[in-house]
Amino acid sequence: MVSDEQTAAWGLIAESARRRGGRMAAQDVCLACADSIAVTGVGLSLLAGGRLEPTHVVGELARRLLEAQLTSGDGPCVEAVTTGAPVLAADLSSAACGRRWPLFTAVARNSEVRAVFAFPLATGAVRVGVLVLARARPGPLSDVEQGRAFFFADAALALLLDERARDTTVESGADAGVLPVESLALGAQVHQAAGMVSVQLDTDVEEALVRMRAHAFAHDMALSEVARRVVERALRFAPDPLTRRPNGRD
Amino acid sequence: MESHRAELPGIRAFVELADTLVSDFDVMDFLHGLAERAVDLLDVQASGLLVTDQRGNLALMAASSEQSRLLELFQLQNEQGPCLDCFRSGEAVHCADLTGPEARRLWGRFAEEAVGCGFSAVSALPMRLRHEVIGALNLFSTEPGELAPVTVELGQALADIATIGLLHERAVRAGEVLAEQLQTALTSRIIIEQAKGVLAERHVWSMERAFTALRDYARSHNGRLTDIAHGIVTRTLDPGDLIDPPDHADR
Repeated sequence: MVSDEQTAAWGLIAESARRRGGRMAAQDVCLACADSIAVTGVGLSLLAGGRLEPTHVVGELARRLLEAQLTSGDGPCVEAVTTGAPVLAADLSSAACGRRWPLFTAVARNSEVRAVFAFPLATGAVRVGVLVLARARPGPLSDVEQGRAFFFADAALALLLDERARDTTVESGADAGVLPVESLALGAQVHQAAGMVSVQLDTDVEEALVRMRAHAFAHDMALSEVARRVVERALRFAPDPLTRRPNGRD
Repeated sequence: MESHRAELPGIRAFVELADTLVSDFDVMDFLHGLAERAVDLLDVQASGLLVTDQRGNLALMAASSEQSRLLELFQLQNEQGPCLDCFRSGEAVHCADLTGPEARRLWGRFAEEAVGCGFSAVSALPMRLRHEVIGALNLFSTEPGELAPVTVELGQALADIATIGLLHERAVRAGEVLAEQLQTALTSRIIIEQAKGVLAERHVWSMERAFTALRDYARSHNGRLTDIAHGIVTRTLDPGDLIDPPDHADR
């Protein structure tokens, strides 16, 4: 029951893997997807601890889109993974999109991303992540393109799970079962900075991340830019004087 | 015309079974329904399903009545009976007369027990996918005699449906387990990076130095890196306990 179309798509994925000189992986799916659908960028985010973490990115536009998603904490990707249904935003500058994702559209307005198409990855009852396509011009996906996107989402999931199945059979040692730092497509600094800010504010990392996001939003910066400054110790956060407790935890 | 009319309830049963495969799928409900439909459709008086678990051991999954439940368990306990022969060989096993010499020779204790329960004939059909046999469907009749070929065919189709349902359920579960492992692996990486940040801020260390301290602490305390990092991030482990690491020559 594999169509010619799907055989051709797997061919693209395999070709990409050959060029990289590796085994077929989710990165090849993103590359093949960008090749065979008229979009400017492709990204992949996976759920981790209830939040979407960008893990794969193809093209600068997709990087900006994932950055906006990370900074705002909402948007089509978050909605797709929450609802389990694809979210097709053919024109981000429309009033409807602005109402639907006020933070995301505000953050994304300088990013040149004009259309976003998010396809959820799920197996059984477990929601895994989102494959997202970004375009620099508004306009919907054609039916054929949408069909291909569904296929690429399934292919990405299949390869991610296959990789995991291989890993667990060979791994051992202290950091067994930990993805390499390269898996964080937007870098590790956001998380390192969240750890640092949690000490500065004497709070947990979730609260630290909220404060970093608010700072990014207020200063029209990307979250990863805020994180970079924190890690370079050029930016420190001070406890909010109104909520500050007389004695911090020790 | 006659055979056409007989096929209709069969089709209805298959439609119902297919329906349970796609809606909220509960494997035990599904197999129980299948055991009951086998009795209705195949004109036998009882049925039972033995299926392998994930480690390859046979276990009772469903039975249409208390008697067939007991007989399936009896086969498992005594390691003899038509269901076990069918499972081992992957071929259908038919016994038209449980009081006959062959039944007594092959499975004496089982035959005696089955006759005691009021049954006269038994069949076992394999649940098979290519080379893999994952179980068998047992059919019990109170009247002696062979099952009609069309009944055997229909029974085998039911066994095939049970096979598909079970393998489907196992594949889904395997996918879910892998997906959860993937999320844990990514979350672990994030927590390690957060812990590096906590240590870097607390001790005014570089990220590299923070990681070395984390790794050395995990090694010397025989802990997993992720658990130590989680302790640091949630402060159940005092970041002050991880003192300035000495420089290691083995790096």
